[in-house]
Amino acid sequence: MNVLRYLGRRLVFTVFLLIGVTMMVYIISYMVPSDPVVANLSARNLNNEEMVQAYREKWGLDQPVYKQYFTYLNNLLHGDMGTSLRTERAVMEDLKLYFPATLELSIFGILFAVFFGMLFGIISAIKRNKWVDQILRGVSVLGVSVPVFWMALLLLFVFYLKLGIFPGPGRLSASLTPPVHKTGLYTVDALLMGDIKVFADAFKHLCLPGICMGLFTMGLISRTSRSSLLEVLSLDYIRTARAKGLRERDVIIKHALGNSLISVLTVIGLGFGNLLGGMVLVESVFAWPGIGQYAYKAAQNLDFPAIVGVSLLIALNYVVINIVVDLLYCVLDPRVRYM
Amino acid sequence: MKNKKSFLKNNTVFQALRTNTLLTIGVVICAIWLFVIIFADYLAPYDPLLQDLSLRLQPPCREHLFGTDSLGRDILSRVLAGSRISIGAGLQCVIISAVAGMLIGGISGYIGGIFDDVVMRIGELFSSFPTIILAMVIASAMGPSLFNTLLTMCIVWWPNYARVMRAMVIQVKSNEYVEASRCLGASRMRIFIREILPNSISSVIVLTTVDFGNAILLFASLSYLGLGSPPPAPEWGAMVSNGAEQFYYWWVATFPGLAILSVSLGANFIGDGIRDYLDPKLRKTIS
Amino acid sequence: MKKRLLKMLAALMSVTMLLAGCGNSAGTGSGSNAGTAESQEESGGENVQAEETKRLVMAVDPDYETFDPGRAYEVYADLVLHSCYDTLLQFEGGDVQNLVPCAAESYEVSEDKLTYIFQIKPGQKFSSGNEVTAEDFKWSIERGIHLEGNPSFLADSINSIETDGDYTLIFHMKQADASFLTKLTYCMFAAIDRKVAEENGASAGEDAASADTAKTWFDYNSAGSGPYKISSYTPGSDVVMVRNEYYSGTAPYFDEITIKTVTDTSSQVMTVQGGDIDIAVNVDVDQAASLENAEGITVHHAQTATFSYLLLNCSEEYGPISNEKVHQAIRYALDYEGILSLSAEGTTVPVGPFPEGFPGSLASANPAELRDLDKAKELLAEAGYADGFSVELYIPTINVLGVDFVTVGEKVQSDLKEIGIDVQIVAQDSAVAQEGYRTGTQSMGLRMWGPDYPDNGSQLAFLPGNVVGLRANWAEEANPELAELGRAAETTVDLEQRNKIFNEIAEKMNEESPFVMLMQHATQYITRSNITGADYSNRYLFDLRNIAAE
Repeated sequence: MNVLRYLGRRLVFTVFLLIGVTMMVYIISYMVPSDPVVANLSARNLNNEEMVQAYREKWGLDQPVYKQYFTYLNNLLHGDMGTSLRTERAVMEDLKLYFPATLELSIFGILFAVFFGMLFGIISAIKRNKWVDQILRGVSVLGVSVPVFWMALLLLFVFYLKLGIFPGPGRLSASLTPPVHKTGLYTVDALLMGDIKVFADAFKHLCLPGICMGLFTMGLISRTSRSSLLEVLSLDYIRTARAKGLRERDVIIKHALGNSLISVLTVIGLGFGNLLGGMVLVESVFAWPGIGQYAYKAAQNLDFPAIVGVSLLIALNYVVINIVVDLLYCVLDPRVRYM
Repeated sequence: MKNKKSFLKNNTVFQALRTNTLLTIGVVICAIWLFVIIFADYLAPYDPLLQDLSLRLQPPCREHLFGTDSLGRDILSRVLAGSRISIGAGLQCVIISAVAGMLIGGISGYIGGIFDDVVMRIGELFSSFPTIILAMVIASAMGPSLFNTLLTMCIVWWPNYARVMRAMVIQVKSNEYVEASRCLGASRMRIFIREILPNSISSVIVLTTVDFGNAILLFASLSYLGLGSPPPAPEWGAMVSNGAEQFYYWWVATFPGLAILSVSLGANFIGDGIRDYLDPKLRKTIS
Repeated sequence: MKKRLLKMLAALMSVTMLLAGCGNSAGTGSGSNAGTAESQEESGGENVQAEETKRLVMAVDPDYETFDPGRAYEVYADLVLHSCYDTLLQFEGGDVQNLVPCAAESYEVSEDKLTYIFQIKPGQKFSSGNEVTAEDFKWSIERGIHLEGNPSFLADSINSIETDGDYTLIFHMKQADASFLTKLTYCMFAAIDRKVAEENGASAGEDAASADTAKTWFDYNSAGSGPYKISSYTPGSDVVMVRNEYYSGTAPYFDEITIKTVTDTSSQVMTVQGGDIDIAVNVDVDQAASLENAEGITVHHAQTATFSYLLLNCSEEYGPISNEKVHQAIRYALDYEGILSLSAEGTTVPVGPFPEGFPGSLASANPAELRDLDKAKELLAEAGYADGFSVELYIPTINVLGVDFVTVGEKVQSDLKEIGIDVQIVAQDSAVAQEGYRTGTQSMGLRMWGPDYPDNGSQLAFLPGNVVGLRANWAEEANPELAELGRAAETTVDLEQRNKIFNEIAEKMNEESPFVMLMQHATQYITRSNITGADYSNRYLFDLRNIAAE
């Protein structure tokens, strides 16, 4: 029952958050002194006042901001996110084009981060202050503090150009045709088609950018899981368990890990946010046609309909991830009430 | 004075340094950078702004230990001079957002209810918003300056701390000993300061140290968009992004990159050390 | 309770482990997978067997979003449009001086230059199999005009279009337009398959700007009579073109062309080195230099018509920088040799706003002779600023043909410091910088300019009172003589006479104008060594019809 009430409340807040996001973009569009017309019309047409006027009318830019805003909200309720000034396509369509690539990459990145992050964290905690611990901690700090675009280029240089282990930039080799669009995730679509060759190729293309995206979160997770594991290990009940003569491995797996998962979960939530941040650069190096590149170009061209669209999408993701994290909290630690 | 002495004498500090090699390394790295920040002007072999196009993109050699960049400037001198700008900006950003985030998150988590919901949702609003767009807006509305860039970074960052702090507060709040002190009739403020804050601070410190290097990096990417310290200031991040365009001249990006890395490493190691040291329960398990 | 938790955890771990395991096995597989390696070689164009698809793969950082010939006006769009659509006239390969017929067989121009009559080659076919007629041309051009899109201005001088039978097309002009034939190479003047286009919502009526709904279709498809047609377009990823099997001209070498979006320059270079891509277009200057001796790769250099210049504001609001003597002083203070060393090999300093290579342009200046610090200081003193002054320089954070603009700005800053001018750099995102430029509020700006069409007529924008002139608040009254010369150049049809006027303008502007020309950029790009015919074109970027492999 509690869960339902909690979800209901979150849903209400989510609606407010989304309205908040749209409002913020519109306030921004009002504050920015630069004019979207300048960024999107050619120099010649800018000198033609008639053209500029017609353009403003076409995109509703001649109306006061609050009017633009309410028109937008109204359209949004009908599932219409407007038309991008830059691509002149419906924003919804653009998002459908760009988002799956990002989603696929993020999922790969986060899985990589969770697996290796927790593995490193656990080993570090067990071998506390031994050399293994020091090395693993060093590695995880490296993951957190290397400039991501530099790392991306380095990975590409070493693993693609020098060693030839992984394929180059892009989602698929040029000689292959992308699978039929169902989910937009190439690996999933390829499996649905039963085309192992395309799946393998798409998966290989995922590896380098995925590792790059996940590296930062991996560092965070391994550090957090190490410290929270250590904290839990010092608690009384663990000592009791030890005193009972349980093996150290059993103590950690059976008793300590569950409790330390809580703080790791928080970090995973945060990590997703950071994934989105590093995306622009990674996508640029690996020629990944994702939402980061789309957002960057939209910002450059002051393409406000697209900016609102991307912001909404990112906000929605963020909320969903955090709801999942919050629910997991409760599963893991019954003492935490639905806040 | 007396306090300080007893602190120095306190065995646990040395013990911590002895048992934790990484902590020692961290302290050494940070001490070196502190030295560099103070004496950068004397250490730099050249004027960090001096251009010499006949010496463009020289690989590291005896005259230029770290090589030269695309305008023939000495990279070693620029890295040394840049320490003030980059470390300074990173520190300010992290400290301001950590303090703000801890206060907001802590209070929010402690009070709970509607207040908590509203605050956390506002936090989500900010952190779910694309940083670059926010930075561009603040810069174009208020003019580009170091202060505005720092402000933007803090606006985007405090929710991270608030979330972690809040999560810790909620976890700690449900611990038996807090329940116990509440039963004993301790006031809310007292519980917050005495019980919750010290117990939560370790996680925040871990996050702060992690974020420090990250702050330098974000500052770098904002500088690159023209939102940070204006060129030709030798800012590390701007140097790295400049060098990434010249990938085959590896030294251009590598040395400022290593500088960022080393500061970040140092901060992280110290953070971990402090964490272990501060946590009273952990200390017990050491001894 | 604990047990459930444990199970969940175990499940989580095993799933991640499984996935990671997959990753490893698939990853290591690729190294030894001979099949993949072979297919990569194919795409590199080596050892192509007769029945194999001959595929060209290019990497670009594109600016296009649509391939509607009536709407697209982006630099990179011509890579695709010129491959898919035939225009009346065209340039071949890297040449932009000599127009050659494409869809037209021959043409006549009336004495007064007000009527152009084109004879269209019979028997040409669109990719749908429909025949190309004069009516298609008329319809397509009228559509382009009425769409009021970015390229529409190219047709400003046209009064009306007429057809005579299936193969004769007649243009009636409002006034003589010396650049008209050059403008005809733009895809706005290409034949579109009217039947197919109309089926997909196209309209050429007066109200086309609102009535035409074909853009969505044109985003992903083509309907032209060129040698290729668009087979697929994935925004942000790639556009793939295949042969137009109805094409009647000489068939191009490649069966399929893939143009990949790779925004990062280092990444473009690496993929060429790795053999997955045949041509990388956006290459950093110093990167290109480091690849000169790389195996299997050819580094190309070519002159472009793009140039960078300093804009100095003429409005007194902006203080000392508006002084004409100061403009002169800055011209003498810059170290042009140093600035050129930041750009690709072959970059020059143009005289006036006219790129070397266009008819009527003067030969470029000798950079070593341009700097005269004493004279610069003298001029500054004459202007009354012997002690120098401080000024803001606005720079968009862009990379122009492999040259980082902020770096150029830092060089200018250090040069001007030598005569006492203290330059504060304000680096801005390009959209923000563009706004300051358009409103004429930049005290000093570092700008780039690419001609709208390869003819000096498009450069007259720099004259006082014209578009770019006004950006520097350089009004017609400030220099009526130059403004008058500009008007003369626009309407003079006699080429020799026209070129003389251009020469005069160039020399005058080199003495007295608020624009300091820094460089006419050369560009550099790399190809696999077996690629031939990849000549840089100032009109199309590359004429993909001419590219082949050995």
